[in-house]
Amino acid sequence: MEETSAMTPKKTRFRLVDRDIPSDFSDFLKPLGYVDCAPSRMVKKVFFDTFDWRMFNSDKSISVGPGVRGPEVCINDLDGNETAAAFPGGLPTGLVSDFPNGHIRTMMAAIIDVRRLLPRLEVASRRTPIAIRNKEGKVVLRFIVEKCSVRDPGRPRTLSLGRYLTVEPIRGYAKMEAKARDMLNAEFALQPVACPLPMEGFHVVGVIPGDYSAKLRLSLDPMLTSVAAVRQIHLTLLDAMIRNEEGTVNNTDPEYLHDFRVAVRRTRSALGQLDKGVLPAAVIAKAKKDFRWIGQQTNHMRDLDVYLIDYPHLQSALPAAYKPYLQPFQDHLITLGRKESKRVAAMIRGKRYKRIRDDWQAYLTSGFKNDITSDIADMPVKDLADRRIWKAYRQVMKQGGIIDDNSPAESLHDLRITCKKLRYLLEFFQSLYPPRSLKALVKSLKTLQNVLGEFQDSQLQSEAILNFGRDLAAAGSAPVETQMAMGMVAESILARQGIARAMFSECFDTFSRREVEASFVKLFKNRE
Amino acid sequence: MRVLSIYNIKGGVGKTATAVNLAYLAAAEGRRTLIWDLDPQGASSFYFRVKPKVKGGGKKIVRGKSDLDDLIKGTDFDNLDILPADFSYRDLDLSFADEKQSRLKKLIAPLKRDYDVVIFDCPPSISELSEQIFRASDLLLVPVLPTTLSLRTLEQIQQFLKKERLRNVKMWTFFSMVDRRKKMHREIPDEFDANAKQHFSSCIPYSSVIEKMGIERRPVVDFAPKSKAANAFQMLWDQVSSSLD
Repeated sequence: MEETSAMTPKKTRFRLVDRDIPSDFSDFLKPLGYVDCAPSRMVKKVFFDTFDWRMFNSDKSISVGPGVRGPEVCINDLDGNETAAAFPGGLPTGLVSDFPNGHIRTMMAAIIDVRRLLPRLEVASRRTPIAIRNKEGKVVLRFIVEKCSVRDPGRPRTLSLGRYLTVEPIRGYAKMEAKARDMLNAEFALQPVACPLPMEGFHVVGVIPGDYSAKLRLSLDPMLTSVAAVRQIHLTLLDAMIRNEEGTVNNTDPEYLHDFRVAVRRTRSALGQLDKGVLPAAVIAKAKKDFRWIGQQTNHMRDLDVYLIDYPHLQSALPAAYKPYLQPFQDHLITLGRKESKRVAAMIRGKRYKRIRDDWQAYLTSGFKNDITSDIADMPVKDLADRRIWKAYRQVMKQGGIIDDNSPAESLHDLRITCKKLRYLLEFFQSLYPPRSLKALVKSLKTLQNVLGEFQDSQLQSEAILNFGRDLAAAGSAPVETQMAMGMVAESILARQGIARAMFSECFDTFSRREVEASFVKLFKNRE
Repeated sequence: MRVLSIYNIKGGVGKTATAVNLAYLAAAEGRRTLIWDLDPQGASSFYFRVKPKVKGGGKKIVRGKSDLDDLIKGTDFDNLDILPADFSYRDLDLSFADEKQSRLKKLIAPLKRDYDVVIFDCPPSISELSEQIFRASDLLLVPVLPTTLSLRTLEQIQQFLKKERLRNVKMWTFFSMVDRRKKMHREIPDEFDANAKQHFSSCIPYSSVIEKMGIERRPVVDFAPKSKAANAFQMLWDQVSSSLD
């Protein structure tokens, strides 16, 4: 990421009310120099961001608007003062492939990854640029008087944003800016607007930037009853699931399905670990069955997404001569992906899914209070969290402690599931514990999870790739070199599995070290 | 940050016109661009309507006593700034003579925060300053007139780079001020293009519209974007930018 420069002069935007700027504003500016007032013109800019606001979270904005020679993409810092990059063209797909190779694509890949940029705000303005020129005819200061309106691209209604005067200093001509400021202050007493223009626009159209994140952002009161906390957790997860339905149905980008599945998995994990003694057994059993079904319906599509995302990496493992032969594999994945996407879309639009979702929502919102069945339900959530996390941690230590070099793969797979349960618990209850301590524990756990994930995923992936190879051979749709290339890919994945297996002991030892144990004891055991 | 130097030992070959127009095109493409007018004549500064005056002069810059950030001026174009010329630059050779050979490279290193492209508009000479420029540049772009004498100077530059073992800088040439009415101007480029390595095929025509830059005081590509000269500069920039990346 480029550092921002301290030297670039900052633009200042002032909100205008009718009386602020007289019709003879150009005459007013005459003491500054020759006033060059260009004709007014309409300028339309569309601001983009991903569904989970990755640009906003990186303190950046990206817009498409008119440039010197046709449309131009502009990446700015959020307050619009620093231009990180700009290039002619638009964002036809919204994906990282829209960006020119080199530092711009690298920067954007680090921000948006596989997500798609979506139009989030349209700003239309009638602009009148005014330039102040010195004796040489050089522009030494710029003003822009504009009247702006905004629209949420998903809605037809255009709303007025206001009138603004923007002062744009030119580097190296600071005195001119100071003189202009003094004049404006003396005459109009204008107050600068601190909020960046797109943020004001979002406010007017009723959109809250950053209102969705794949990360759980639960804020639980430690004294809340367990039953109320469980309800809050499930409602948050259900909301995440529902918000990702449309993007999953349209297959806008693979992260919608991913987030949808994470919400389903977290729900299943909560049902298994939290709800015993809090919700009626029959409700838990039914919900477990229903959400398992939803998860199963999306497994294959997610697998295909992962292969497609990893494809460049898989291809890079091949010798140059074999790389082109892997293309039929990618084509096969794309074809299967399209079919699966249609199937998942039909599932989400289908009656069974809707019934499961609506019944669960109805239960969480209206049927919940009547179902309290035990003392655990009334226990403060902090106590429940301590108990459940401590139990899951002990289980991780027990399962991991007996794994040696001769242990079967299943024991590592089981440990992976237990680690995942522990991770979800830490995420559900993160607001109840000191953030720094919890962050360190999650970091240690994550390293162990990564190794276990690599071990299991590489086994499944290598088997799946060989199966895809058999499909292609049976269909006679790829040359023998493709089979060979896929064999090499499967082999390179298996090599990764070997490395992960070798790394397990060291990673588990790191997770078992005294500092980590002491933290778990301090945070969770003594409150049992 | 990529550093492009427009250089030739000879004067009057179109260095400044090239520097000014390529700087404009780089900026119009969204690259944050700085043009440093190193020629004490200050023609680039004139074209951008900036006073050819630098506080403290060239000596202070070379000694690191002036902050380049404070000397840079914004031009009338987005993403394009200029470090103006100063008459004291005529003594830059003497100032650099007391410094290490990579002094200029070190001086511009902090600019990478602010700029994607730095373009040096170089004075015509082969001197201590030229050597500093060569060491600081990624690409040396040499405008060549389609004349025997101009081609001879090209050989002199190549020999100099070889002698001084300046391998980090890539030297590329292109024909400038080509008057297709002249037989020699038609024959030499055709013959040269066929055999030359590291040579851009775009030819900048000898054109009155380029001379008009002195009246308009802005790049041809801005005031006459559809002219033959503007198209030629655009084609040259397309080739240069892909070579820079």
